[in-house]
Amino acid sequence: MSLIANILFFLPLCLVICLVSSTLRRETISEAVQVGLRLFVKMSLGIIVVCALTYFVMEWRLGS
Amino acid sequence: MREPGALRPGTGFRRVGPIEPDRNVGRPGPKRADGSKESDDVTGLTQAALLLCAGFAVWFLVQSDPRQRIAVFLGWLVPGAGHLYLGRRDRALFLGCLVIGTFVAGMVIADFCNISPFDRHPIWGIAQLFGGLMSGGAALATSHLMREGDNPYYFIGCLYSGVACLMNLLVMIDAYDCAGKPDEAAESPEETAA
Repeated sequence: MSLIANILFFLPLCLVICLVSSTLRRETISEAVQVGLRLFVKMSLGIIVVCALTYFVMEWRLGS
Repeated sequence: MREPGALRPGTGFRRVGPIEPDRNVGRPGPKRADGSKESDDVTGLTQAALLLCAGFAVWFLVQSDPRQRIAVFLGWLVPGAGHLYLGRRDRALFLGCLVIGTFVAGMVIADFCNISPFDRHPIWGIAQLFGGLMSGGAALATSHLMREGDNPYYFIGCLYSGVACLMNLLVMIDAYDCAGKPDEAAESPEETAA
């Protein structure tokens, strides 16, 4: 499966998980959506950065 | 000419007879040196998880009040129904749409062949336990379908549906939490105003 397909499948699932988990213990939906979207952006960026770093480290170690 | 019982071409599945119990178990695996099989591990894990779930259910029944029990039970049957019972309509719609939408998306990705607790994928079957009527209905409605060809996204579909059912567990916990707060059980002022 290509990287683009992986990302396309990962992002919606990540968004749904963030939205549902941020609803717990929050009184209003709008507050939960705000927190969930913020969490989604942070989590997606974090995972993409870690994946890119892992990719380059592996390329550097295995490619040489 | 189409094969008898085949559906429209390009739908990715075909109609066949009932699934035999062992036919689609994920990894039957060869026998090991000690005579055990990999599928024995899966069965053991399934039984352990079922015991754990039963333990939690008993603990919940002992320490909860009737209002919490009804909310959690309805939430298990249909995602969001527990919140609806508690009078939180917006929350019920929001959570129900997210969970059911993810579940259906998983089924579409996997050609509607991924829901079948304990005869296709015992491990995913544990996750699907928390889907209640959603999983049960889907399993009944699609039990006659078999995977045809190689769908590279099949396990992505399993993941989506499994995660949706596990998220329903979070929704049930939220319903339990809401039911435990009698003064705040009704719509909050902000939601009512909206």
